[in-house]
Order: sequence, then structure tokens, then C-alpha cells
Amino acid sequence: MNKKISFLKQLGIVVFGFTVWHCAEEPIENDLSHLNLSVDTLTLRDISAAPYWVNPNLGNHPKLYLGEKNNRKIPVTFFKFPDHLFWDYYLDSSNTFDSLHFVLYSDDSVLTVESCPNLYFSPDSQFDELNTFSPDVESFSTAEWTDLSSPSVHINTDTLGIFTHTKIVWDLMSLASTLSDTIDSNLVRTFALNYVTEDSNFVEFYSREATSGSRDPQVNLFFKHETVVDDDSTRIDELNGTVYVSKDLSVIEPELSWTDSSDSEFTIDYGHGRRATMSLKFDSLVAGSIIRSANLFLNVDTTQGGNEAYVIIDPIESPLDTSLNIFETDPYDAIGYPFRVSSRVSDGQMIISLKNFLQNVSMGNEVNIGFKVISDVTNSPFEPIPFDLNNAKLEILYVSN
Amino acid sequence: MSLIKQIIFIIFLSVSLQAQGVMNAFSLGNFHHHQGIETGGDGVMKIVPSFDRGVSLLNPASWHKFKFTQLSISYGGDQNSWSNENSIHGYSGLKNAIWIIPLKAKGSLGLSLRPYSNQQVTINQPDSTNFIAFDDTLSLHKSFSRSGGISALKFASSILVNDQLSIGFGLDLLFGSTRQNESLFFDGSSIVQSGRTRYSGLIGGLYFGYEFSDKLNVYGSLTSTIEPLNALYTKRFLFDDANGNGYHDISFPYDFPSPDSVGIYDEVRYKQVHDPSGFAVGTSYSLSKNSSVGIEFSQTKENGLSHESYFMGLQDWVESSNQFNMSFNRYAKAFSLGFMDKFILRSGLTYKSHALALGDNSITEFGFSAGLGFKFRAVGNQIDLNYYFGKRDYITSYNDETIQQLQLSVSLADLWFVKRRQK
Repeated sequence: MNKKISFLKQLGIVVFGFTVWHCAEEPIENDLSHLNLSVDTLTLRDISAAPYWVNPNLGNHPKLYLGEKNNRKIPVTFFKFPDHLFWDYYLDSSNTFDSLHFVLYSDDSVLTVESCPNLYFSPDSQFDELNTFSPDVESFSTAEWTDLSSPSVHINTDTLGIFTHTKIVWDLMSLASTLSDTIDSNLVRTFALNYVTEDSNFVEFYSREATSGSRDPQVNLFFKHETVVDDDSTRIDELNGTVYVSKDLSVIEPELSWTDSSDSEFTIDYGHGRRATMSLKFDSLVAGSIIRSANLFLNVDTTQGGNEAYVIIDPIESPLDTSLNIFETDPYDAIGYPFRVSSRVSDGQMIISLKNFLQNVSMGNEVNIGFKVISDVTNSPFEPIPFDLNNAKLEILYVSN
Repeated sequence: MSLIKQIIFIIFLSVSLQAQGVMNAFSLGNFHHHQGIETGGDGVMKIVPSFDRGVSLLNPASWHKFKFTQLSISYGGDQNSWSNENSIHGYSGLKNAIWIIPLKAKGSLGLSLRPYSNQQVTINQPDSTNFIAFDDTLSLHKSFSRSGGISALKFASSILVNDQLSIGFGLDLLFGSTRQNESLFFDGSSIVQSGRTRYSGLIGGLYFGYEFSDKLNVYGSLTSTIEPLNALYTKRFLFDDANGNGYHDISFPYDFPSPDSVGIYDEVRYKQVHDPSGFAVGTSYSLSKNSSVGIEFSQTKENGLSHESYFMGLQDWVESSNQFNMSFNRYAKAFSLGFMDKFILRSGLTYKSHALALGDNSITEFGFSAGLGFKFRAVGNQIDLNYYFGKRDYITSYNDETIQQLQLSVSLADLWFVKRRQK
């Protein structure tokens, strides 16, 4: 029996040796011209566009403004601070507040106290970052707001004396009890920037979208905290805290003739709420084809602006049955991810890939209704992006079998 | 017994290790019966007995001569190489697993599983072509690869009609699948057309053996298609293989388009892609009680339809084959206790010629085999080791090929289906 098992073990080793026989996978070289995979190109120039207008909104913009520039006016900028544990510290008898500051940051190195606006406070004024538009603030007045006067301005430099940022500070100590009020259940800590007089000053600050926190609009608290250690001694700690803004918005008021329904130019403009729909005639490729690249080339007349700007193209989900082109909010529902694409204007040209969407149109997963062309929220709201459709083209490189 | 199970498991585990030669690239691939020897126990012979005295594992008409039920497994390694290239393709796999039950020396039943066609191949276009796309010149490179093949499950039986004539019947159930990728590489990644083909078909065989005398026997077989091999080709959607792994998947960097965005695949049924017919005749002559010589001739013809749209790999297929084999065998002495008397010597020569369907190309192959077997225990267990060397010449194109094959066959015999008294 032992002999048999030993023999079978040896047999197993031989079989295993066969099994691990080196298996090479070197390819054979031969003519494969009979295989049908082939590359081809397609150029489409049948591209058209039409503008439409919506109320402009800078709710997601990384800057805050006040004043007038390029015929666009920012009459007021709002801030709202949330409920926070720090507000209650003021009511704690063991805390003594030394200072309470409202702080904004700017990259303007020549900012002066005179060019800065006044800060106002209201405990019950509401605004919405994305849905407050210029018509909503037409009758805005600071008459019933608490005037916190003008700020102090601090120009900051690094150790080499190179400008880093400007810090603008308003003193809020007079508001400390109001901001920490626990009786008012509807307390909203809303601030507004507004010029005392109508003039041509223009200032800009970082908004809460600009940085990850360090230069957001904020309120800084400095206070002493007293701790009783025993009957004979107490310890006093100097502490500070920061409450960051939860909403901020510069309300933009476009020039009077900001909409003209007869204007058919293919221009988009963030500050004017001008957007566009774009159509390109693309039905399908050869059945079963795959798109390797589908690049839309759009030229931009950068003499008017728009260089380095980002443009978003988003396929429209469903058609809109209307002849209007002026709307309060955007009426076009777009598909968004994963077909929403963005590209930067560079040297007067924008190249944007529509490969993913057109492939899905070709496969029957999507319908080509058209595209919504909008400005990215990081673009300047004071410059238009005028496209030149004359040389617009869509170049498709595809493979079929 | 558990060790035997483990060995069988290892063998089956490695069945998937297949590789390539030029013939793998033709239409349905390289048929197993075109590649060297079919089982280690039979050597180069197909119908003329070579396994043991008067017995062939491949000829059901001889199975009734087994005294005990046989389970024979043949495992082999192949190596294809080319004279003017430094490329060697090696692979190993199961060559045959057969279970034969003799029925009181009057007939037999048998079941076998074996590879029928090996389609493993990777082909590269030697030269790239240029394509001007807009302002860019693209260098295109085509390649093709496929893996898998067709297997045959055989049901066979035989009956001894009288003392001289035996007749056998066999049914080969063909089944299997192939995955193939057709690739066009340019600009950093490949566009891949992948597909899968599933096969089914049924081939019948009629076998006979006739004893003219104690020394002279003749054998023959006829092969005919009962249900031609059909191929169901599933054509998957083209994809950009961004991650270069050959599969349409969602591992980063992501293939395009996303696999879940692709709709229903096209399925095309190609009928009668393989419809073989053929015959074989042979004779053996006993030189002594323990030695014999044999010769045989076989011819097969492909009656399958040409489906040009189905062409994958090389654009051709084997239309007809002729094969001439001869062997010399020295068998073990039946009841001898001498150690050397338990050895079996087996040698053979083979000549094959294949005519290709398109053009005037043909393939010839000359080969020889040498084998050694060892018989042990009273029931006739047998281990056979066989080496085959062949030279395959392609008349008008492709490089000449050298084939080497080593096969190990283990045949275990026992009394099955017999009630034993409990101790």
C-alpha cells in the first residue's frame, strides 16, 4: 500500500511538471488587412446658437463686489452668519469680551478706508444666495439697519515686504449683546455692505467660495475666560474664536438694456445672465461605431473679453416649447453629469470634447436636443464671452467595424 | 484513492492552458487530430491497435477485447517553434480522458472527453499603416487574439458480431466557446471589437475490425456529420481599451464607453461552419506473439460552408486532409514476472498533408513518435510516455514549423460493477 502511494506521489510530480510547462504567448505575425476595423473622420459645421437671458446671480462666485464697473452695478452685498456656540460665550459671566470683529479679505493692495463701504446689521433681514436677484433689492435701503460705520484697513506683506493680502475690519463690540441674544428666536445675523453716498467706488473681496476658510468673511472673537482654581486663586485664559459666514451674495444689477430679444449674437455673459442654446446637427454615426474624439472648436473674440474664461456646455434634457428668450430663472433642464463638459478659452479659441454625449447619442441612449452654453461661476461677471460661429466646427474621429 | 482524485483535479485544472501555432489561426483553429499524437497510449495510430495487443483506445470496435474496465487519462505538453524566428510556443493540457467498460468480451460502452479544436492564438500585423486625421498622422496597428476552442464528448459502444467481425459506433458531441478580440491600436490605446462564439454540433462514427487470421487484422472507420457545427457569434460593442487589459471593464483608467451604457449585443448564427466527413483504413500484422506492425490511411474532407464574415485570424481553413501512419509495437508479455517483460515499446511514423481552401497553399507534415509503456498489476494498469517530433511545412506562405509533443498516459484498470462479498 505504501509503495502504491509513493508511486502515485511520483506520478503526481510528473503530472505537475507537465502542468507548469512554460506557456509562451508570443504573437504570430501575419497580414490582418481582412479585419474590418477602420478609422474615419467626420467634420460637422452645421452649428447654430441662440441667446437667452436669466436674472444674473453671483451666489457661487468666489468674489464679492460693491460699486460699479463696465456698466454693471453691485448696489449691495449681503452676509449671513449662522448660530454658533461662540455667540453664547458673551452671556457667560466667566468670559469677558475684549473685541468682536467683522473681517473681510481682499487682494487689492491700494484699498483705503475712504474707498471702503460701511457695514450695516439687521437682525431680521433675509436673503437667498441663489435666488435673490436685483429686482428683489430694488427698494433696498439701510435706513432701518444698524450702521457700523467704516472699517479699518490693514495692508499685509510677507517678510520680504511683498504684498500678500488686505484685511478689512469692522468693530462689532457694540453689537455683541444683539448677536448673542437668546430671547429672539427669529434672530438672523445679516450684514450688508453699502456705500453711504452714490459714487463710483468699486471694491472687491474674497467670498466664502474663494478659499477653504482662511480668507472667508468671518467674525473674530477675542475674550478672557476666568476659571476658579480654588478659594484663593483663579486662572485667566486669553482665548479667541472665529465664526465663518454661512451665506454671502453680491447682488448684480445689469445695465438697463441688458436684454434685447432681437440680439441674436452667440455671446454669453455671466454678469448679464446671458446664456445660449446651441444646436449641432448630429444624428448618428455608422451603427456600432465608437468615437475616439469629438472636439468642438469655437472661436472667441477676445477683444471684448473672455480670454482665460471657462465655458460650460451641458446637453439639454427636454425641449422647451416657447418663443421667449427672457426668463427669471433658467428654463432649460440639462442632463449634467456625466455629459456636462467645461473648457477654458485660450488664445481666442475653445476646444471642448463632446465625445461622451455624442457616443451615447450614437448608441441611442440619449437624444440630441441641443446644448446649453453657460459661463462658469468663476468667470468675471464684468466681461462677455462673444463666440464667432463662422469658423465653428465639430471634428469627430471614429472607428467602425 | 484520494491522491488519484487530486491528480485528476490538477489535470482538469490545467486543461485551460492552451497556446498556439499557425494552424490555430485558421478558421476553427487547429484540430486536435492534426497535432501530433492523440493519446499517449496509441501513439500516431488512429484506428489500428497500438495501446495493447489488439486494442486501440481510439477505435471502439476493438474495446471488447479489454478484460477490465479502463479509465485512461492522457496529458501532454506541446511546443511549436519556427526555424527562422526565435519564438517558441509551449503549452500543456488534457489530451484525452476515456472510460471504457467491456461487456463480457461481447461488446463495450465508452465515454471520452477530449479537445477537438484549439483556437488559442495571437496575431499581430507586422507593419503599421498611417492615417491622416485632421492635422494629425496616426499610426494604426492591427492585432487579433482569441482563446478557447471546441471539445468533444464521445459516447461509443461496440459489439462483437462474430468471432471475426466487430462493429463500433461513436457519437461526438461538439461543444465549446471562444472569446476573440480584434484590436486597432493608435494614439496610445486600442479600440477593441470583442466577441464570443459558442459552438454545437454532432459527428457520428462507424468503426469495424476484422480478424483475417491470428496475425492479420484489418480496421476501418467512417466519419459523417449528423448535425453540422453551428457557431453563434455574439458581437459586443466596440470599446476603447483605456486600461489596456483587453476587457471592457470599469477599472481605472476607464474604458470608453462605460460598459453599462452599452445596449444589446448583436448575435449572428453561422450555420454549418464545420461539416466533416472521412474514412480510415488500416491493417496490423503480428510479427510475433508480442510484437506487431501496423499501417493506416485516413482522409477527411471539410464540407462546411464558407462564411467570409466569420473569418477571424488567418483568412483560410483546412479543406481536406490525408494522413498515412505506420507503427511498430512491442507489447508486454501477459503473464511474465520479468521486470523487463512489462515494458511496452511503441514507435511510429506519420505523414500528413492538408489542403487549404483558398489559394493554392497546402501544408505537409512529417513526424515520428517513440514511446515507452509499463504494465503493472494483474488487471493491466498501464503508464505510457510518448514523444512526437514533427516538421510542418507551409508550401507558399507562413514559416515552417517544428512540433514537439510529450504525452503521459495513465490507464487504470479494475473490475467495476461487480458485487463483492463483504468481509
